[in-house]
Amino acid sequence: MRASFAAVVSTATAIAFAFLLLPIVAIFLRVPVGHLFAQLGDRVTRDALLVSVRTSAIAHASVLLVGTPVAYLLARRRFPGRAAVLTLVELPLVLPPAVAGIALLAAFGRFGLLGKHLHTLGIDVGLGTQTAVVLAVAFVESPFYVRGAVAAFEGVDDNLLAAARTLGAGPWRVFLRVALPLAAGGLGAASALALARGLGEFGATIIFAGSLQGVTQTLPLAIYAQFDQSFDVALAISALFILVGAGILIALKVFGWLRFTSISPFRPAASTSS
Amino acid sequence: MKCAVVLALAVALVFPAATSAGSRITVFAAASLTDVLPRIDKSPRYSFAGTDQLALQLQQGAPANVYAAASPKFPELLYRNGLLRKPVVFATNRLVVIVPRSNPGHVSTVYDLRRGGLRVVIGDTTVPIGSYTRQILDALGITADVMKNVVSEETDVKGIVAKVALGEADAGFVYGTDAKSVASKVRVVSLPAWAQPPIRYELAVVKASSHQSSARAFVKRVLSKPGRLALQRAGFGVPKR
Amino acid sequence: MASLHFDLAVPTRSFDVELALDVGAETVALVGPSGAGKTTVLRAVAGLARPARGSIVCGDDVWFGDGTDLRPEQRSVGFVFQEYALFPHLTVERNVTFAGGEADGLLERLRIAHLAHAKPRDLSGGERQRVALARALARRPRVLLLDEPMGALDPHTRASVRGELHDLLRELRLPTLLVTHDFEDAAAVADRIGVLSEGKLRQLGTAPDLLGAPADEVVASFAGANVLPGVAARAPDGLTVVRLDAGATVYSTDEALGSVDVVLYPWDVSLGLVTADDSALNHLTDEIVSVARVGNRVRVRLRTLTGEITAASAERLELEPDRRVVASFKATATRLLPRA
Repeated sequence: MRASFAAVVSTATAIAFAFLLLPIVAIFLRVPVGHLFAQLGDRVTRDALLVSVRTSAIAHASVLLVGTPVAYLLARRRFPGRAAVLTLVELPLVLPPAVAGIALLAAFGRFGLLGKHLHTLGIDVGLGTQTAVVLAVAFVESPFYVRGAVAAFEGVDDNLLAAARTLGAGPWRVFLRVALPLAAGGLGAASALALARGLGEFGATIIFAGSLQGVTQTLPLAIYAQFDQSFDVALAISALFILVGAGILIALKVFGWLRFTSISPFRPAASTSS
Repeated sequence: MKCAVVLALAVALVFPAATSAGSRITVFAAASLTDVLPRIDKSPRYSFAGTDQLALQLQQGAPANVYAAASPKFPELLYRNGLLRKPVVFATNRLVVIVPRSNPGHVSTVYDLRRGGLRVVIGDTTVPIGSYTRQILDALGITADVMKNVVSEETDVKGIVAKVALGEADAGFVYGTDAKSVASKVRVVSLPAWAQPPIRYELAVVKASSHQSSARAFVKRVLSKPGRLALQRAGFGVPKR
Repeated sequence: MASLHFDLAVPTRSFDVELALDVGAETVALVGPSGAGKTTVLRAVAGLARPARGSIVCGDDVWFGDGTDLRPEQRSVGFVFQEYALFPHLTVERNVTFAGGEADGLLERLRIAHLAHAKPRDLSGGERQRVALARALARRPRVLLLDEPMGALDPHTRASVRGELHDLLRELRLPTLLVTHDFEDAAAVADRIGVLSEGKLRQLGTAPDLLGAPADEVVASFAGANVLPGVAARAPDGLTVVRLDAGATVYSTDEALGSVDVVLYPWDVSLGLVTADDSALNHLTDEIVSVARVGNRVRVRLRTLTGEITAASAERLELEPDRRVVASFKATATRLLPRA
């Protein structure tokens, strides 16, 4: 069998493309555009959209805020137990979302490890609260960001950071003016991946936070509920979801491209002759 | 030549036989029938899920032979649409309120659920348990107060059961048969019979499916005396002969 | 005028680097084979590597020792890294002013003012080196540390850069430590040269010192000499005769007995096609292995030793591999080092 390498690669690419594109195209072909816009007028849809956007935004911002310094530390310092910490951070990746939901219940539920103490203080982060959704989304999406962020920081040349220090920069300046800008490309990609995962979160949310319109019912939960009642409505909300997701991804890409083309790692090196 | 054999094997592994294996029938049944149907007949392949979800799958052409629903709505509708043979009532159920064993909300009657600050879980409007619950709340005249306490509207009755059993909710509206399956973790608060909505389970054979005789045999078995006994033991009611 | 004094031991993967130096307003080059620990010394002085023990003092300030261990940003060093480590996301001007301060004077002095708004990736090797220097000097450091500053340059650029660097360092008069694996670079730029091998200092002195009186065969071979093992015995006329392990016999004016290394510099070797009739010279007939042109000189590698002659002579002799030639060198140029 003498199949040429190029032919095999092209075929594989075509199959992959078709496989990924087909279900998405199928949705849009079944939803008349008019329906899509009409769907936006539906209370359930609008509430779900609002809940999704709010909870994803808060969860993602928290993950970025806390995850970035943690990733920096993990990337640059060798300390005892580092491997264990890395594994712990990646743990939610291997948990089925339902298991993640149960774990969150066990920790933050009314009788949970931390939850019961919060409960006596009158703080409720469990069933029926929007905070529960934020917790579930953050828990599930964090490893996607931290893993990518660690790789991005590890990719920054040690000597550049050392140079900054010999030039009088303290740890903060080294981080803000050298490490962060140079890792920005990788951080952006990891952030997009995590955000996408968070937006699509379902299993952990429904178990830990439940589903209540306007409070905890996110877009994925709304789609699932509507699926029982009306397939067309479910389709319309799904199409909407795809547009929102694609919009965010594209926006991130454009932003990254505009801001950081100057430090693209893929530029060829200049010659060494004068 | 060897390449072709390997390729064929790979394809065969990746695409598990879509062709029917043997004469096992497939039964789509409501989630509340999970424990009892296999006890009546263990040979079919069962798919348990929300009644409405199953109806939608059937409409999309899912390959089932029998449809067992927790309400007459979809069986009658799909019968009108020509998808099913004439449905027949085979069981009834009633609604109950369950509370965690420790009863953190101190609920002894359904009227206690009007009290502010309680966490109540019910079914979503799109599933039968959800609409039944709203019917009984209306009949009792306590809808507004109870709905204020609702913290989650689940799409699957198992979700309601889980949240109450885990203690996250103070009370949940489920089928009497569900309460039986987690008897050790929950306490049952019964609801007055006069307020109960009629919950009729209907069974129908899917018209366009293969194995019509096996499907009809299954229906007969469910309606038979041993079948009715099994249903009653599981907490269902059975229609008069 | 500040000076740098250090006496330290730094553990590395294979051995401990131990070095003590007093550096005044001068440039000291650390040379040696790669892996000898030279860069480790620089990093320790800068605070990027922690010595196991010792002290580093700059002027009156203790940077390391006695419980003190100042972080790099607290020390006053200018560090030029191997491959320069210029910040790729900043312009030349931003790079140079990273530590704060004015850039204009420095950019002018180093002839890179016209590149102020260029990015490092658009610069040539020589230009990058000057930016790295400017950046290191912008903070007015009290100590200058250069790690292989000419390592990333092609041979042609190197020659011109050597002279410029020498002049610049002379003008700055800062205690400067320069690491290089090239003896000629060191000789051209530094005031003193220290030869490091496996973490220990073999010899410290000026280039003439090292060339004229190498302390051991490591120093000698590093300075570019041929090092030929042999056995020495007394000979008439006060000379010493050495029977080389490679087979030939040579005479030396040095005094030695027993196992020795013969140290012979390539440029002390002349080549000819026949044995010249001169008994004052050592003669060795050997086969040519390779002929390489380096600038306007030619390095001729023979089986036993290497010689360096002018390009003109090489042309005249029509040298090429496998031909046999006669290498001649004076007995006074044939130095002897006792072998351990």
